[in-house]
Amino acid sequence: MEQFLNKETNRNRIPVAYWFVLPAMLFFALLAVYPSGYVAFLSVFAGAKGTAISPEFTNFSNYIAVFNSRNLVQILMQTGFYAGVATLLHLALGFLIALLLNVLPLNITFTRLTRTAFLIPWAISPTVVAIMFRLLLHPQVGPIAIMLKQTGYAGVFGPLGDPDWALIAVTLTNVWTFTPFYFLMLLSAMQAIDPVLFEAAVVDGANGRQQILHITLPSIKNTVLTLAIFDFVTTAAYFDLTWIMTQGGPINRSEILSTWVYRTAFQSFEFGKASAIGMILFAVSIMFTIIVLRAMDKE
Amino acid sequence: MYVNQIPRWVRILAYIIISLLATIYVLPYLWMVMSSFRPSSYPFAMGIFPRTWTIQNYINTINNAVFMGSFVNSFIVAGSAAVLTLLFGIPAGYGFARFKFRGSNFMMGFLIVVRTFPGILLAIALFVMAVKLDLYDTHIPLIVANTLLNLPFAIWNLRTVFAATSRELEESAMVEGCNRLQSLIRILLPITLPGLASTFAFVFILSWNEYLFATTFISTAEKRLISTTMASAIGQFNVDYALLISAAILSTIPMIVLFLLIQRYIIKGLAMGSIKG
Repeated sequence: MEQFLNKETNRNRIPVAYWFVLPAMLFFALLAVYPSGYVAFLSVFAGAKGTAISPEFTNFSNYIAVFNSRNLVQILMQTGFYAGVATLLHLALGFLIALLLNVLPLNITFTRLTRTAFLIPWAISPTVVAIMFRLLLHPQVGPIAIMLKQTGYAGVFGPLGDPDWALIAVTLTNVWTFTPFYFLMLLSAMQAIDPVLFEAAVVDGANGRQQILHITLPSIKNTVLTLAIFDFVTTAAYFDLTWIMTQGGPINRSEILSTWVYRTAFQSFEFGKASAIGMILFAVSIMFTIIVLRAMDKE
Repeated sequence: MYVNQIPRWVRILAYIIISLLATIYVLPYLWMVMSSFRPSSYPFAMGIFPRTWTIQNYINTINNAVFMGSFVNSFIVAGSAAVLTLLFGIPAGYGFARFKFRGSNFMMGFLIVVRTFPGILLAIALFVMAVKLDLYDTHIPLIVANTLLNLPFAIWNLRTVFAATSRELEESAMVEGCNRLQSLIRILLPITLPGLASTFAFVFILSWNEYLFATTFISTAEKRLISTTMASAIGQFNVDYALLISAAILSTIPMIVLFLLIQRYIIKGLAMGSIKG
């Protein structure tokens, strides 16, 4: 290694760089690429229970079992709702806050304080957020239920135990938790726009609305689309909040693909089937990414 | 951004919207903090506001062996993951910052793609590997998994940190007889300390907060991390809510303080990663 590092000739430049990058890349190859391949292997060859590999080819029985399961369509729709609504609201609210805090000459202390208030959820663990909202939405101990009772509301307020509301409650909790991240991303994209563009627009007599429509939005369009893909794909596979808040219940009404994979693998120990669901999730993610990237290229 | 004339009502509306949203963000925390001072003699269902205040819940949490053991475990796992991430991330970030070589763009792009790989799939694969290597129910697969999750961003961030340093400083060190590795360790690491520390803190916070792998790889209660101990407490019957809330606050405050210290650096790194990606 010494001899590579000492010589700085052009011929040796490439090996030197590789020495620095190699450990991290080997780490990824060993612990990300190999396991991904292994899951694909399990999804085809693992038998019914456990991780035992069946001696002969299973004719994709795990995939067939997934496609035949009664819940598949329901869980796909719920995952689509969860990830779709969350992505939409993350970006819409994040854009609104970034726009208001970036464009308008508001009081500087007010801007700083509110920006910190929006950023702090980033440092708080999803576990704590999930526990907090479980308590806030609790039918007996939750402050919302208590307040409703005091104002004379006769019904029971408990969205997490209500089949019609559980998914919505978890989705909104996700929006609350992750909007700050997208706010931050959109804010830095807006701040990266060249101020000269706005100066020129002001000279030409453009008003605030026109500047937003014709300068801000076109400038950050690609960032927004990239974030949207990233957001949808990662939210569809996101596990923590749903699992701690509802475990996919009541009666599977807030179950999404990630909780289904977890349940299948670590509660039923059907690793083959769980891997098959996971591979479908992964395939859908990749397809979605390619479709959006293609659409972006066409424009 | 330049906007010439803003109608007064737009500005007032902006103040109202931002204040309303900020309230939605702050109120849940205020409720948590308030409830952590609630005496156990006054159950939650009796009313939103406690009648008297006490710090007994915090004393009980600190004296609770389960919670304190979990804090120590979280500290070990998050600290080891942060050290391991820097061990891999510093050379890689330096390599990407200083050299243009075949495949470097592909590798940087690969780092972003890795982040979109479903964590739940990785959990299955790493679980099977851990069981086969007899490492299930130890902290080792957890440390490795957290390193794996955070290394891509750490490399991006460290690349930004090293790219901002001057080449001349390093070149003069090499004239004096240092090789690349020595000049990295003796010259660059000391001057990039703030960037390194913030990357360390970033990985520490995210590993401390991680839940999926912590719940997958650990089964013994004494080995649990604070995130999984709290999550399993809320699922139990007869939960002591005030105790749980004060544990949640104790586990959160150090992370918020760390975050406030490093937010400037991290925001820059995140912005670079997302916009250039």
